[in-house]
Amino acid sequence: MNLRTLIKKLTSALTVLLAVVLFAPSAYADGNVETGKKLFEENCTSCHFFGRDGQGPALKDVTTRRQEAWLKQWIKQADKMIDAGDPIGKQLKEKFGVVMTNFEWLTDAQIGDIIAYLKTNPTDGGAEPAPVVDGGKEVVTPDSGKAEATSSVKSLINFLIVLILIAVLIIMGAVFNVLGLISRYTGIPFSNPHKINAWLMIVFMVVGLGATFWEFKVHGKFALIDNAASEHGASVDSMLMTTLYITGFVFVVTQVALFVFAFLYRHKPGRKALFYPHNNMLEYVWTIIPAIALTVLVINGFTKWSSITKKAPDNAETVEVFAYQFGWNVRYAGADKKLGEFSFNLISGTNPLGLGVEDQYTKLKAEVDTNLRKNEDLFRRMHTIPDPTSEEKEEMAGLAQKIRLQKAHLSRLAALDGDKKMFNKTADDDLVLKEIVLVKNKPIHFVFRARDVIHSAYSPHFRMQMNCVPGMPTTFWFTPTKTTAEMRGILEDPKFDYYLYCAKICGAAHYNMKIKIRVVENDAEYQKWLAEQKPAFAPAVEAVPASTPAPADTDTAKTQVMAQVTK
Amino acid sequence: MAHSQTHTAHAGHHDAEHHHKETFISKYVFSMDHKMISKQFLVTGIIMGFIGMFMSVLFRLQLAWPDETFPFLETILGKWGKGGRIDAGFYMGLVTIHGTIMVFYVLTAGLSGTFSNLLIPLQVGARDMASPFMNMLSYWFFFMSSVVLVISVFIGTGPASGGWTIYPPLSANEIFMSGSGLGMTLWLVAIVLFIVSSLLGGINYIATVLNMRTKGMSMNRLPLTIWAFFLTAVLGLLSFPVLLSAGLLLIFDRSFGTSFYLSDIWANGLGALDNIGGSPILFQHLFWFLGHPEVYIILMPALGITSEVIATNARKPIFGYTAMIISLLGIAFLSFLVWGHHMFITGMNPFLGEVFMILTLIIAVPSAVKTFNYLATLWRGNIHFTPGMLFGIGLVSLFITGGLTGIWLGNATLDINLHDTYFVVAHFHLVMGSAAIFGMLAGIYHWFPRMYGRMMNNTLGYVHFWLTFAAAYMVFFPMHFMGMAGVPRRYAFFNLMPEFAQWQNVNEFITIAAILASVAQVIFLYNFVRSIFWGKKAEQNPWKSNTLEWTAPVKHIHGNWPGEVPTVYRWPYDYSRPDVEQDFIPQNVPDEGQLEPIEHTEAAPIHNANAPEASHENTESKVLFAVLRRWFSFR
Repeated sequence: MNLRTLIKKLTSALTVLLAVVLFAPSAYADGNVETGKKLFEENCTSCHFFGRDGQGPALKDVTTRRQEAWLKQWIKQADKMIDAGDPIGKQLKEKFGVVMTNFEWLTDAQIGDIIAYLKTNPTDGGAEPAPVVDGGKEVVTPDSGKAEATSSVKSLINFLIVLILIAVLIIMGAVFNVLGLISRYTGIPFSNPHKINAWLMIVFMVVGLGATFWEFKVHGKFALIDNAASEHGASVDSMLMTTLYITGFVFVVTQVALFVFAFLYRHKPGRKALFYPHNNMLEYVWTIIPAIALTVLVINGFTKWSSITKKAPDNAETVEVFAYQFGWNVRYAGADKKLGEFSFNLISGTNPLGLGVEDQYTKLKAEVDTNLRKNEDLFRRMHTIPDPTSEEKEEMAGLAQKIRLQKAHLSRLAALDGDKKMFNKTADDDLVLKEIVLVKNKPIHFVFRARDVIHSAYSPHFRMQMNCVPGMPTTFWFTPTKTTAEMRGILEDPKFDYYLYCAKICGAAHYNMKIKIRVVENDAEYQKWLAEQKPAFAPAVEAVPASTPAPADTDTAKTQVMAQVTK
Repeated sequence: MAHSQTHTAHAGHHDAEHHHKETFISKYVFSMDHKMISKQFLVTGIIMGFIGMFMSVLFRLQLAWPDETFPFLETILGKWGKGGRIDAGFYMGLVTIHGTIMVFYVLTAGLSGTFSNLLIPLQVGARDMASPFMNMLSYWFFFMSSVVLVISVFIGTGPASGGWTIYPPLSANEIFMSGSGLGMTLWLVAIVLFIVSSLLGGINYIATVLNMRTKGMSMNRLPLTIWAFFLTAVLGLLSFPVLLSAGLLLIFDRSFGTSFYLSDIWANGLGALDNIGGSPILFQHLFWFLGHPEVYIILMPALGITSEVIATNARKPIFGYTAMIISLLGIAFLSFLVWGHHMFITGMNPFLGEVFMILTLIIAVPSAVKTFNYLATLWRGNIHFTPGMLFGIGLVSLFITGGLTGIWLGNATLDINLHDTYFVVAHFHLVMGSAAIFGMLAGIYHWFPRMYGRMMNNTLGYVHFWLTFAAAYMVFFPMHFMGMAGVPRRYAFFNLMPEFAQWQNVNEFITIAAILASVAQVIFLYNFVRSIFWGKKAEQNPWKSNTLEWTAPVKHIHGNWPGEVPTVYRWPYDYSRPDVEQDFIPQNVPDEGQLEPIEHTEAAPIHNANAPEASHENTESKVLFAVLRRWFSFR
């Protein structure tokens, strides 16, 4: 090798190195980090953390662990990749037991944004903003180290408290033991248990009632007993206060009576109890008084419940809330002001709510048909394997199940063919969104649906909760009375937002299934927001290449099978 | 009379008893003696209780310090505790198994099984249960069920994790969560075995109470414990089969492709399922048709035990014996009509919600009557603070606190915002969790001398009580406020929800209190085990109680009484009668000159301005028992 070529090679290497160093940060910029962060929070955080495994794997360094092309395909069609025998996909399914949702409704550009955000090495941290890439330099979130240190000190203190409590117990035990021994040898009883316990009763009562009032003062202020953000919420609150006063009164009176009686009538030498087996008058009194109090509460609750659950007013806007493992979708009516028909049979990657859109239907039918044929073919060939291993047997059982389901699905889809009511075009312009926006003082009529298991739509500030049941749409209507901005002012919390939580246990990531609700001041603001939203089935979305599994992977799977067959 | 024939037959059997040899196996393992079976239930129940409690400490650690890692978790949980944190799915598993163990294995079998078995024959004056063999089967089904449930925690896909209420579709297919696979199958198997055990026991309890009472033991002389156990068994007999059917239909849906509970489901990874036409709400109706009576199956024995313990230790007749029975009957009857209050917001017809709201609030009336009667029993009593009595008083306090919040949750309007929040957790842990555990502990302290012939250490008992009592309130009282602030239950992590950050220190406080409560239970365990072997020898009747079990010899013998079964001459609550020097008169003591066991004790006139009538007998009770006698063809 002469000097010339060496220099040539060195320079080219240097150029590459320089290019990497200089342009690598700009490689991040092929997606919009801010949009990516928003999309990530809307779609991914219910299952993924960065620093640790959740329902799915930890995403720290995921962009270096996996190739970008792989990630892009995986986000779109994880199940198809597993079906096609992707080794990493199989491992993941093995490890986590569940398959990642197909995010087929995300465009390639949006997925690019998400990946760009992932490349910034964000960290978990709830409210704290993830570190943002600033001109190619990473800004480290301040105080993260300090926060860690203080929290570990705090936990150390907590454990010390536990240790001290245990030590106190042991010492108490020892002291009692010594006192017991002394009294055994001297014959003098060291204590009178009746007296000690009677006094402890009084101490417990005083401390207990004190703590109760302290809690009302300290934690009572977080309780949602006023400032309801909805019209009916105010009546729920007044019901709650009535109940609180009645039960609170009974609570104090009966508890005081209990502990005071226990103290006053403790055993003393020479005391004889009063033989007093019954008094019918008293029994009547304390049957009838609670009965009256409860009647008051029942009538009160009855009227309120009927007014809350009565039919929604005509001017209420109907919005569909769709729950799935683990997130929410919201559907607003499009220009025609009507929500279109739906069926769970029509759910697909590009049509997550199963809306009655005809070309979506045609596409889905073709897709199911192709998959069915492919699976049948694979099954037939696997069937000829002479000595299937237990793993292969399991795979065949899985295939058989899929074939059965797909056949049934296909026949149900066929029944929908030419269904005028289902495909009446009302669904074509519906908006499928990730944010709920309501208008102050305008009644809202929610229709809840669920895709897979029972969820529960719970929004405490509106005093709203209703289960979302697969196969049984449920409803709840109310009138919001405070905008998000007003509520922030009332609660003196500039970060406050209304949320819709899932309150019914729905799987491992149940704890992280929420969606923001925004209440705006007037209809104009709402219409402006609505106009900005794109319909779910706008041409832009449909331009995304149809969801066909990567042929290369399928081929490898096939060749593998064939290899086994020939073996 | 059929009764006296049984009586003689048993006496004959008793004479023959010394001839057959008892081996270790027949005495301690496959025993048919109700006293041994009750000990088996108690020990199994305590072990299950400690498992359940340990699980609660594990998930409380997670809730208190979500950002911390606890390396020991990885040591004990393996892949479920990777990196020292509990896996979110396994958190659900822990919550589910904790609930199942506590509700069914500790508070149903551990409580009813122990005390119904011990006390029914001894307090009604029977030689054993109606069918000792079925009684033995009942325990062994329970044992198998416990083993299956505990095994399910150790399988690779994790235990059932859909909550102890196992609502489908979540529990119907493993595609929704890994615990709904084999773990759920084992859960269902365990519960089916459990129901078999419960029914075998229940039939026995009912038969024994109705047919095997000794001479003179009419229904209106039964101790309130027996009334409570009897009605509990009736509730179990009527409601557990419904859970069995719910479970069977779920098994069909899971394994045989039926669609009782499933419809219109699209599962991630499988696509549209072919189950059409079922309803997940149907399962909830069936489940809560057991589920609500189950609450009273748990609570009523605890209330019965407390009635007995409080009357004995206050040295006073229980106030309003008849009213107590009427309210037990009322609770038992109404408990079948209120299940819908668990389902106000499932989307069921709002009109149904109204009906269930009214019925639910009605059930508060008999509960209130019971509370006031306990208070009236303590009033002007002569209270002996034994550990059993302390736990009895603790039960009343917890029953009040937890019961009152039931009025909130039974109101559909308030349930909208409180449903599935920590308020519910606080409510049921106080009223049926802690209160029933206190009833069980009261029973253990009170009847320990009867079971093991030795006394438990009182000082340790006091320490145990005060720590547990304080800790129970410290754990559950703050949860009311979390619930009112809208914090949903069954969330594995709160650190991702900045809006709930203000509860961080409360969660830490609760966890420390929970650890304290667990430490207190270790003290109890130490006391229990130590006292079995080295406790002070018990006297014949250490609490100077009236009921029949204290007339049987301290040393357990087969058939309970060496000679004749004692005859009963009076009700069980003749404490501190003004006409008698001694402050108690056991049930088997006749009044002066009384030769026959007469129906009603009205022999001795009592001159007391405060007691309007001479004994507990009055018009109401006469009418009540006349009706009951008709129904059950009592003697």
